[in-house]
Amino acid sequence: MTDETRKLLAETTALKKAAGEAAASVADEKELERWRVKFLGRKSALSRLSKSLSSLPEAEKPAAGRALNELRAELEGRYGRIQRQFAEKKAEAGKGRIDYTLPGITPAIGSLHPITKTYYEIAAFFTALGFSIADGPEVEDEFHNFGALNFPPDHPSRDAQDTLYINDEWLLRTHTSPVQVRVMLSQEPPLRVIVPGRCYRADAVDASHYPVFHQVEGLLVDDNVSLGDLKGTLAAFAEYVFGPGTKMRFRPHFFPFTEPSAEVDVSCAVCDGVGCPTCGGKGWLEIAGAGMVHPSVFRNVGYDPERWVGYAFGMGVERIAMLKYGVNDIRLFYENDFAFLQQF
Amino acid sequence: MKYSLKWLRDYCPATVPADRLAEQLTMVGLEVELLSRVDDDVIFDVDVVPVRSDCLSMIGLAREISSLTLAPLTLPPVYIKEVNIPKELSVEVDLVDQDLCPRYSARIVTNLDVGTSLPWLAQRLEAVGVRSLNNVVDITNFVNLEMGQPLHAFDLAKLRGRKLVIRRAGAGEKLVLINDEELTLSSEDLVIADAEGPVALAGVMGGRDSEVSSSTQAVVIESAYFDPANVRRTARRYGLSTESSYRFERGTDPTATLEAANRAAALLAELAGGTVLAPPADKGQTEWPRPAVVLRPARANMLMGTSLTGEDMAVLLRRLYFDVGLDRMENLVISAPPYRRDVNSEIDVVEEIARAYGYDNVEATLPGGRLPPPARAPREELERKMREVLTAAGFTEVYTPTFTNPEQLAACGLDPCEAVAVANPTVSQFSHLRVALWPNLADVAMRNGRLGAPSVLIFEIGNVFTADKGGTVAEHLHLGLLAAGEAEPRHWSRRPGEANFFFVKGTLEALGRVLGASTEWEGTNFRVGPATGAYRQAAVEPFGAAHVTELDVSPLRALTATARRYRPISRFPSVVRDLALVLDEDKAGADIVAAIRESNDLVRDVAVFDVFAGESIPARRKSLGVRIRYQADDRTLTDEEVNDAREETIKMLAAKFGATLRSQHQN
Ligand SMILES: [Zn+2]
Repeated sequence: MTDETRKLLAETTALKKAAGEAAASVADEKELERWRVKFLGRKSALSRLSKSLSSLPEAEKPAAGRALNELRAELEGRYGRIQRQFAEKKAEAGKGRIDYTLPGITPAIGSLHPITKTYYEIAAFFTALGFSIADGPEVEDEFHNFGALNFPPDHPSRDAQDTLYINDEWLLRTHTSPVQVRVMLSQEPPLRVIVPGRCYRADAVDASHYPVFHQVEGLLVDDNVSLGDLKGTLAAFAEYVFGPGTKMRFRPHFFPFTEPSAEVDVSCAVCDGVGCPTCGGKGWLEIAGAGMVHPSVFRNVGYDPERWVGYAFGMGVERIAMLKYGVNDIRLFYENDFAFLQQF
Repeated sequence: MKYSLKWLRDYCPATVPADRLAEQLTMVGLEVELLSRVDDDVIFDVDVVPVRSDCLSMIGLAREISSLTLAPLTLPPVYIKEVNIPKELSVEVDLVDQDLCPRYSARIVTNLDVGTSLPWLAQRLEAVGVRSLNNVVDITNFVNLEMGQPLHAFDLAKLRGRKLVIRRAGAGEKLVLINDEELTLSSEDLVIADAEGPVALAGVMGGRDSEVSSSTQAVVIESAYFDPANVRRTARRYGLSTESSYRFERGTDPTATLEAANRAAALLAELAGGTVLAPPADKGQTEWPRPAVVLRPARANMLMGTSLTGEDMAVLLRRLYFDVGLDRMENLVISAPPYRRDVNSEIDVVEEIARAYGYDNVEATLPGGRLPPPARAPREELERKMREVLTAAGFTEVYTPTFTNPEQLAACGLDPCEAVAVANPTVSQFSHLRVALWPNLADVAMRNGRLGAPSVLIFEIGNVFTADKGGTVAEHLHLGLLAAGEAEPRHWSRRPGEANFFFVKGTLEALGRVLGASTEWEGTNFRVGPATGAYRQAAVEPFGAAHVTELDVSPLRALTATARRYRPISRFPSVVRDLALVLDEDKAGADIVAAIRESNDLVRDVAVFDVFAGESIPARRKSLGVRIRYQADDRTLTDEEVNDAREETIKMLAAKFGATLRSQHQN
């Protein structure tokens, strides 16, 4: 090997070391450019050494050329890597300009009406207890709405059912009980069914009355059912819907289609039963009517009242929703202001 | 009804504090709705259920208090000094229509000194909200409140022909009531008449001409038992509700009529200087035997969920003044007191036992027994699916009244004659049943728009009603959908999307897909599976137009239970090709899409991504950008295969629709 070649190879090794040291201290794109000009530019040592290659002996050219190419590849690679690093840093910095506090695009999600939501909770409880769901017409006749349910004609028990009539034959159902009649007329016990739906009363419109309302009624018929079972069912229901610790009580009452009958109260959650304006100072809030199915109702649908016993209950969905959500005006449910609906 | 605690203590001296007593009454079914303290008295406002008419009196409630507290019940003694009726004061009582008046008792009291009542009497009445008028009228009101037997006093001098005839009115007969209202009577009304015409509407109100006045010297005290249903019909016919009719239509105690007349007569003698004449009149049925009711203790326990002995039950019933015996089968044989007209069967007695035992003492249990097999609920399932899809699509559920009115219908271009009218509406804008949901939805949209909502996406599921032939009413389950304003929330980072026809159409298509039904359109009418509906624009301020669809979903109920079949999916990649077609503007896009879908087995999906006319497109022609996805179930498609399929489609479109290719892109 000639001295010239040996010198070139030594210079290449030194250059590699110097370029590496210099690259380590490159801090920004300007310095990188200076580094590129110094080590890879036309006037660089590498360029000069490459030119001097031609003066070497033919036999030593390949080894020297390989060494110079490796050095060039190494320097170019290093340049590319540093350049990418800077670009990434720049992109990263650019991202910082987004104001993450600005509001996002909230997808347009619709909401269910609070009556639907309340009904779903009621239905979830009773379907878990094995009740099926039935429905029926809103325009009914005298027999299904009253007669079969043991309302005598011209009796004051009809006063509580202020009825909207279509004509002498047809009326708007005042409760969903007619559907229970239809179910019993078409099916044999044992029966467990709830009946949701719209009902109507000849009421004026005010904060607690509306001519339209929703009911969920329930009916269970079997050969051994008691008032205690009815109490247990509705006590569990009260805790399910209004939360653990909710107390429930049965007050004797009168309905033509049940006997014994009860009105069902839950403890007022606002005052914990002490008495407050919400519960009218009573500590209790009425949520349902209930009772043991009257033998006359069974007779009217062709069930043997000695063979079958059952319980029935009915509740207003608006009433439950008002108590559950603290809504103080029933009209809000039918005005459909978004400010109201979107709270549920 | 209002009760005075002071007055109640005349008959039952229970010493329980007032609020504790109110609580106890409430828990036996006599709900004290309001308790108010007035001077040294406490007034209970009690909600008496219609079958407990025996409690519509001080003695009636005192009996319940006595049963509850075991304090004794003391009834006022009645002493009457009588003289025989002189001939000139006799009144003939003729009970003609005994079906409507099973018993009619009456007493004559003369030598009356009509004047103001003694303070204690006036106070008793006024404490429970009855105005004091004069001693004679006050005494009849007092006895009514005390015993629950409504009385009426006729001025004897004003009874023409000295006769009282209890009969149905003649159609068209007239009667002027105490309140000066003149009635034209129906032949179904029962009246009390004198020799010349009606002097009282039986059980409801007396007549003006025979009313007691300051100059009255002798009265006939009427104490009757009228048929409850007939009193109710008559009272409702004339829109009257009085203290009398309220009690009679709930049923009074037919055994107590003479007793009440005697009590009033004795008080008239004592407080108004009267002389009681004998004998009293007492027409009709005077014996009212009660049937014995047999109670099986085991059955009572089964119904209540209790384990009481027969003896326990007998003790509870005797507290309520029931007669209780035993038959050979160890069953209780029960006879209810005469005033308990509501207790006639075994179940009635079970209720009495439960009440007396206390509902609170019945243990709460969950039902055991047999579970019936769960049944599907098609309407429920359909409604839940629709709500799921529509809320996910951004729609808010609303509930609107089931009613409409002729003005709303006319404003919406609907025929009011097709709507079913409500015979007795309570609110004028609720005079008819709705025939469609969208008019109410438009009102909701307007309301929210005016309140500043930038968009209204709403739906309602509910029944609409139409008059059917034969006078029946047909009900249809509808889905109403309304979109107005922005379909998507506005955001600076993207262009706002406005609700339009295609937005509601696409929403319905998504709904159809979830329900497993295809959606087809013909103009503005459409079908989702077997259900039919229509699209319309409704003018809704401040949005200008709202996009509305209404669909009769009743036929979709059957769909929810239809099983779907799985179609094997392809594991091989699909290839997409776009076509930019140019064709006559009257060619329907839906036909093009359907034809492409049919054109080759490899076509999986066809979507229109662009529609435009003008610019470089010749007149009366339009450009349709269509993206086609090709896929095979069993292999990866080659470019060649896809290109062949595409060529086939292009040829078909040229032949069938005269479509040419504007340019072509490949992905
Ligand atoms: Zn409270």
